[in-house]
Amino acid sequence: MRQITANELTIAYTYIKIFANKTMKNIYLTAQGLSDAKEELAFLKNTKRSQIAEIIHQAREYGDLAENSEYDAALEEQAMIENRIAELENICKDARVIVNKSQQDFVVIGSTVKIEMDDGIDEFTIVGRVEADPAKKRISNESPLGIALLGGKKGEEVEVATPIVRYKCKVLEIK
Amino acid sequence: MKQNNQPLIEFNQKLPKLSKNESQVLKLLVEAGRLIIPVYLEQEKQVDLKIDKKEVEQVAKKDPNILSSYSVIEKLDGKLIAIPYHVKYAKFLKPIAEKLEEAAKLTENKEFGKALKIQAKALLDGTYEQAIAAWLKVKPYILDISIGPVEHFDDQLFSGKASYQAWVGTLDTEGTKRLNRYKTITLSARRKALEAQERIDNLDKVKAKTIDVILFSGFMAKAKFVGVNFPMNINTVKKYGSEITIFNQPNDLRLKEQIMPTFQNIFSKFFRGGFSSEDIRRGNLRYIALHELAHSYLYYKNAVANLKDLFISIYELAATVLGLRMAGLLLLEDVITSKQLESMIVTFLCRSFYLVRQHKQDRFMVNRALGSAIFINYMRESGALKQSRGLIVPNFMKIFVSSHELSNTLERLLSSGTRQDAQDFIKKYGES
Repeated sequence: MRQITANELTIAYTYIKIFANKTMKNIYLTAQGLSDAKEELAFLKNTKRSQIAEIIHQAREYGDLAENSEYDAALEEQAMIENRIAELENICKDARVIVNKSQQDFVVIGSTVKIEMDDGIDEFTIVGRVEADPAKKRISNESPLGIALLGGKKGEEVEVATPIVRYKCKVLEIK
Repeated sequence: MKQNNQPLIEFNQKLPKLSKNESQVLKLLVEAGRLIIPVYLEQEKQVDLKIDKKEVEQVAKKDPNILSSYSVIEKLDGKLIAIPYHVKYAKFLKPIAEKLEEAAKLTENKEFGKALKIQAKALLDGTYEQAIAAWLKVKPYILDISIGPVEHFDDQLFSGKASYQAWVGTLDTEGTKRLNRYKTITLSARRKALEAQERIDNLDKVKAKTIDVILFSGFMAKAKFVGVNFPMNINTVKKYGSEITIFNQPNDLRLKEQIMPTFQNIFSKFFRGGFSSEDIRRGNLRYIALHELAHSYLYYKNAVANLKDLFISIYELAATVLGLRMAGLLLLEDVITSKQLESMIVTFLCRSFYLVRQHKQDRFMVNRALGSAIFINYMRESGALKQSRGLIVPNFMKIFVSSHELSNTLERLLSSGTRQDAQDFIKKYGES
């Protein structure tokens, strides 16, 4: 796994803007995000897998599997866990860790940005799609807003556009 | 689902796993909910009594209490008097309060029991504010009830109000999580007020839940709301906060009765092919959720007093168009997709055309139908909606841009407009 610098990110954001709608192989993660992903993977593989196996084993003992809702639910959960394990393994394998050397000249992945848009003032951290959670103020570098903000400078007004929605967005602060 | 001529709808929803105690309490709540029917029917009779509006306004100059949301106006010896609900309908309310008391004693959830007890008392002595405060303190719980008169502005100056209602249901945990996620994202954006000193800021005191409904009775059974944001009184909101409730089964009912038939009627087959029934179902829930959330940004102190009887039409439409605007931001943050935003617009268009065409048969929806007419005419004027061979052709980008302008105009009316301003605006766009 290789770390990427802020300079490389300036090239990356241009690339992202051009190819925003195409599937990106690289998965950008903060060091914390990668650590969280590894922790979750370890928990699922070492603890959750055996727990769900035990639940399935117990559910089987209740008898008729055709009418056994506990068994069905457990199988469903097992499938979800295996999917998540596969997803996390890919994330950990392909992850590129963002090193944000307190870059404040322009917005890069990892920047926290205060913006003004549509009569509201908001603050986000731009992260890779895996870590994106707008409810926690982390928006994806591949979202329309993330794409528009990357490379933006303090005081600059950028346009955020989709086929339906178009807004001007002012970068108030980069942290 | 059972619907009949009575103001009662019982939904056949699959109940979640409940303890024995919860099941027993739920049974009592449903019984209490059904007991709203006679008091509501009594209120409906009252609405038919003709009392001159001007006379009421005249009396109100000396005694503003006559306009209380919780009293009926009657003539005694030629004089108008206000009788509080809890006095007027005492004999109907007693058995409801007894059911709530019984449920309060039985429930193992102390906080819920306390609120039930306070609600029972409020029904009998009119202490509604205490009841509102108590419910807003209750933490999310599997059982849910709202029972009693709702304050609503629709008929504030008339002699009677049909406002007793109940809903009973269970908490939809996943739906509640989704709704709260939208709440966190949209309300943290801290939209600026048009007139900052005029707006009440309660953004940190907004609760939100999604409910699987077992029963709607009284006013709720007539209005069939899919979402509500209570309380409505701005001073109560300022003191205690507010709560948004979204209802799953009534959403399905509205789809069946209003949205899908209108969808089939007003759009071409080709256009309809772009939306699955699930797109429409979720689109309707989303637009209503955003509408209710948008109310939190529209608490302007003097709007009711300034706009008077025109307030509710302006206020409700303002919340919808602001909700669409907020949905646009969700799209930019990748919280929703373009298709989901389009589905929201499509379902709102269906609702608007339905109300404009049906409102003459539905006196509960007159104010909302007026808002719908404004929306349709505004969109037509801006070229966002076109008509071809009797079918509607929407341009989503133009609808979004025009909604933005309309939203600003409506918020301006709420923040600093007069009744005359509202009337002029309605004269221009409100023709149905």
